[in-house]
Amino acid sequence: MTGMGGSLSSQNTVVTQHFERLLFEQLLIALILVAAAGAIGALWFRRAQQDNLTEVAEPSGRRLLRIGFGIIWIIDGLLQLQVQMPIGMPTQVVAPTAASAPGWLASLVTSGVDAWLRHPITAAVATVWIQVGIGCWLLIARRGRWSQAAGVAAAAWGLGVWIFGNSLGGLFMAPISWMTGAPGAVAFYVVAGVLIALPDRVVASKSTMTWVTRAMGALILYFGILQAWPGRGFWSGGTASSPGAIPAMAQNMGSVSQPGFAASIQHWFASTTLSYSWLYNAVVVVVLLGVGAAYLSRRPQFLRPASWVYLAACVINWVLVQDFGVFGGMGTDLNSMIPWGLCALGIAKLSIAADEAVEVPEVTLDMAASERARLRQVGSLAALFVFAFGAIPMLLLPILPGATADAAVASGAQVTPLAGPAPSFTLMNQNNQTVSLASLKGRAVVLGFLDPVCTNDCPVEAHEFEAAAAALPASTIFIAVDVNPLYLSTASLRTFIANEGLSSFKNFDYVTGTIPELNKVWSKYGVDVQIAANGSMVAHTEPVYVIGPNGNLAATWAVQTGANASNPVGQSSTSILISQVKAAS
Amino acid sequence: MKTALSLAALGVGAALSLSACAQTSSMNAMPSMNLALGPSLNAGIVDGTTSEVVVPMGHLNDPFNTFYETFTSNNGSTWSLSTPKGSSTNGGIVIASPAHGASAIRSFDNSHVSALTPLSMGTQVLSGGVIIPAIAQSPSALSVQGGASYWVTKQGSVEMSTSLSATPITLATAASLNHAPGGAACGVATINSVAINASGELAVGVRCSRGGTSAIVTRATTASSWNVAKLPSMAADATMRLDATATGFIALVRTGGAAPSLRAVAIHGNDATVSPSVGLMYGLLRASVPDGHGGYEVLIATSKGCSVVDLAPGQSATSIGVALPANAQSIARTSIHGADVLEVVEVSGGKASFAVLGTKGAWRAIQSIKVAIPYGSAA
Repeated sequence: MTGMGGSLSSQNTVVTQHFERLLFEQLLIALILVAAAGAIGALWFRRAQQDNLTEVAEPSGRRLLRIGFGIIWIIDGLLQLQVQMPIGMPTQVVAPTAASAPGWLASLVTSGVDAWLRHPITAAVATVWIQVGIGCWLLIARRGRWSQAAGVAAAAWGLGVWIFGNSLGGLFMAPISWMTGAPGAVAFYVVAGVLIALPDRVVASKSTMTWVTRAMGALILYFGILQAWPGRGFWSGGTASSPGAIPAMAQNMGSVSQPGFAASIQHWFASTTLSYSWLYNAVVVVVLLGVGAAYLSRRPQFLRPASWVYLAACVINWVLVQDFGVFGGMGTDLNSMIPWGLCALGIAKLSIAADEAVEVPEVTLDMAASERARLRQVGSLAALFVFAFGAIPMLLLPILPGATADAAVASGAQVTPLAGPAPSFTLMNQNNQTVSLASLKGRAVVLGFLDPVCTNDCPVEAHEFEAAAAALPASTIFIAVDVNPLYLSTASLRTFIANEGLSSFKNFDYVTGTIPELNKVWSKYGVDVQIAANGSMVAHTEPVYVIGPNGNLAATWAVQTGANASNPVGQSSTSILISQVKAAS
Repeated sequence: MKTALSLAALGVGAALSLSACAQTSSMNAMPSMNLALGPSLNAGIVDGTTSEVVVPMGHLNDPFNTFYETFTSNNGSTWSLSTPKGSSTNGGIVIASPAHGASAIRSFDNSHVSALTPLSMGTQVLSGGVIIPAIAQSPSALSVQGGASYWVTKQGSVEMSTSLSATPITLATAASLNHAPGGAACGVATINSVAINASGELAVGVRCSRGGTSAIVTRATTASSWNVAKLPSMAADATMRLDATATGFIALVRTGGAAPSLRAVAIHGNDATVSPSVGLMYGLLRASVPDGHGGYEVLIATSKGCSVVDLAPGQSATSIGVALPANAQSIARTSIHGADVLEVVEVSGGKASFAVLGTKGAWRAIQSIKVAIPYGSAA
């Protein structure tokens, strides 16, 4: 190592390529499922086309929730297409939320993370289908049982995400704040899903909506009080060198790679709130307390304006503080503001409708409307197929055996079998001879990544290679790829070999090339390289690959380093090398 | 990774912050040097006619890119590079008994990858298999006598083994030492150094929980019980180094308080004799070597430059030489033409240069060794 430890990069090419390939393959299957749904629907159409359907008009509040959250679920599903999701989702999004959670919750979340990491590609692809499926289902199924079932699916998946993916919305990550996303966007997905799933008579019931509206009011009021509470860091803008909570958040968000206009907004807001944090917080507090009180009162004359004011406040905070939800890091959803604003508005509309006891009669649809309704039912069936296509493997995830190849060394915990052709390369070895991976077919190859000026664990790893070579057939080739862009010469490689006493290691090729050539190899094999500021030893990830005589990847693991690292499988790397090469040969 | 690296860099970086003798920044920024409470890494050692010295090289202000090399000189011959091949040397190298080639590699950042890190213990050299993790992570202490090796583990216990394949025997822990006479009064908190002398007497340096002091605990050859040597009342708060002598032990201890200083302590049985002190208020102990007559020569870096001071019990503290090489990093002792000679090791441009004290107190370079790790223009 040179320091980056063994955890797999979320950009690891082996994983991202598997992810893209599986997505493409499953897309074809999903299209077949949609076509099958269409065929089933067409058969059903033929039998039922003479009948005119009846339908009860959809309350505007429910329609708002259904369409609004349908779109949001689709956006979330599309965000799951990011190639870093298989590894990044559990390690960069989920795990940090559990870090400050109580033990019982952390262990619950960790079990989910572990299950995901055993099959990260399967899980990431399944998530795409689940969320896209729910979104389409909500949008297509307007009324009736199909629509209610979509609400159930949304609430159920949302609840799972809120617990396992969100650690209950990060409620234990102090300081929780309305501004930053508490109590978690997905909590409102669940609320919306439940309201969509409930029968019309329940949603139209005054007592139900009184309860729901007041709960929403209490929640908003609670977060208003939290926001107003002194000493939580939101009133003070601090100084440029030690910014307060609001400008610090904006600075953090603005520092992430994102479109220029979004970064500009964040930079402006960060500098403004250095002086005017108190003003922004005061406005937020007044809005939250006022809106909360209006929802608690449940009076339509207060609810109507309060719900729109609240939506506007949410949109403003979404832009200024939450950086549109998706720009401040690896975006997995729009963050809390849009879902919460929509949810509050939908509840207000349903509450007012229940209060006014508007009777919505059932009407018989004409032929054209009936056909459209049937088309929607067929579309709902297709969306259900897509949803189930993701949900079934996701449900099976905890009991699927072993770790699949896609897991690679996702958790850094074990040697992972791989399949498929090893990415090719042609580089120059320490003796200025060309080494091509393709030319080594028929021989087992061990591939590592070493820095020629490394005085940390690269020498150790090289000696592990040498020790393993002594116990393996002479045909086994050990290749180390140079990972230091500052030391690319073959002379540097020879110096390393001489310094570390490796001159007698005959079947060892330490290879180098131009930076573009090496970049390609690093990228293909998922090696991250960070150049030290003062130039010298670099930091890099340290995967080791075993390539079989057939030219296919056979296994990989990450060299573990760092204070908390432990040997990957409880044995020396030498013995791992020996056993894996024998297994691959 | 970044967190672990940052923490390691912070800790080691602070300890190495005085990488050059002359500092442009104020030394007041580092008054206590608590990070240097362990035994000095840049140690010189003499074992019969064999001398060995550990020298830091690379980017000395960047712990991630600082590596350590050992150099050996036999019978007063020239120095040669003797760092074990295939080592992970960023964490430092602990040497003991160069005549036996005993050394242990301290892993940087407590890395566990070191399945093959070479380790010499007594007359045996480990060149394969799984390293004993406790040794790889030991604070620094290793001592060899006869065929047996003694070391302090990261967890702070003293262990002994006569064979690399044998399960080490635990000789002492902080808890067990608290049951020794005087141990409870000290309240042994940690053990950080160990030495065994030719007669088989064992000594360990401990840090006490009571009063922030340190103590030397000894065990006679045949005895199974430990005694706390009576250190004079000087508020020693750390044992920087512990070595065996023909008649007992010597320790280099740091005294704390408002005006930290260094003293050498000679231990014979339960008695101890203390040298005069040299102030550490604005300086840092960079290296040390036994002076051959019961004390230590210490290399101290201050804001005004480096100095070498001889600290011997019963004698006055003596400054040795003037105008030390600008980047002196370690000191060693050799025997040249039968005469015992002190040498200073300067590190610059990838070279370790050895200098001896010439006439008029000036240091004269006698040998340079280029270390072939291409760290650019770094030391």
